[in-house]
Amino acid sequence: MGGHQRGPSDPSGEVAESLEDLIQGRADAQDVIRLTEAFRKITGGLLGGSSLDIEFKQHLDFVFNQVIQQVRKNGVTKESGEYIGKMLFRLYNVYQVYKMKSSGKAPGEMVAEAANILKMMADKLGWVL
Amino acid sequence: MKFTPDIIASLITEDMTFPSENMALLETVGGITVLDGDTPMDDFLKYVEFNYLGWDLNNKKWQAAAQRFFGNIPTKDGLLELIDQSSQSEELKIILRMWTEKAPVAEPINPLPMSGKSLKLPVKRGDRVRLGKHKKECRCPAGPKCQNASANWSPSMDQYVGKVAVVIDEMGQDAQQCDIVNVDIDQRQHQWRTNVMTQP
Repeated sequence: MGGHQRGPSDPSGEVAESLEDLIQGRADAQDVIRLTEAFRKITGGLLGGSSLDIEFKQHLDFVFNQVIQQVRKNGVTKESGEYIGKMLFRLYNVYQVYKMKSSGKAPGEMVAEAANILKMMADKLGWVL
Repeated sequence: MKFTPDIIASLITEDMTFPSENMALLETVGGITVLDGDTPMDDFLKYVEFNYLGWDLNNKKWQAAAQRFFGNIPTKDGLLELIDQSSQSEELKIILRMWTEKAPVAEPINPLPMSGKSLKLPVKRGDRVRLGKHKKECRCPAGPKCQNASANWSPSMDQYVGKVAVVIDEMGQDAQQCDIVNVDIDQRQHQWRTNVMTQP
């Protein structure tokens, strides 16, 4: 397993591909800001949903704001880009699984897909499962 | 704390903390981990991953939180059966079985008997209430014949019926014009109608 996830909310794969570039040190400050805003855009539909959706959106926005604020101020090094990339990568995959809740899939199917995503994340981030 | 490129680089390990003005996002909710101003970003991400998806890599917990997120996964045996029936790789099945077998068993659905005593309305933040099952209704002028009548209910709420909870937020009214609140017992996951609540 490996590679990045492309979900229905990111049809062009822009966020997923940009995350890959960022983690690999192939992104500058403008790329990171563009990526973060693109990520924020695909999560925009969460606002106005249930209270849990709103809370989740607030958690995402907190990270987006932190990233943009710091990158505008300090730019991006290879190391900070890798850190920010991994952080956004984790949130992106949380978001992909979170969106499955409204997909109408059976719980077992969702658990299996979530497990696949988790395994892929573990491969990419070096987590020991 | 000011973030310089060097400091951001050091965050790879642990040190990105929350500024105090963001604490409003992180208030205590039921039994969920309390995050404070010294919480590293990595812990925040773990909180998000556990709170919304159920994965807890430190404690290898899956089932209880996954049940909360995914809904009706009734028992540990049921989840193990689902894993074995899935078309995933053998390696993945082993990981899932490991998680599931180490995870705490979720509480069985066993509603407590209702007291039947009416609650003093309106319900306010901080009130202790016993949760009740919503009825299909609509409180608009059209009354029971309204096409919009609904119980505004999901199966994942069944497990909380009859249990005592504390009101966390007053949420106004739902689409059927019933007053609704968030409570602590389900970590604010659902909106509960106050008109079917009773005294604890």
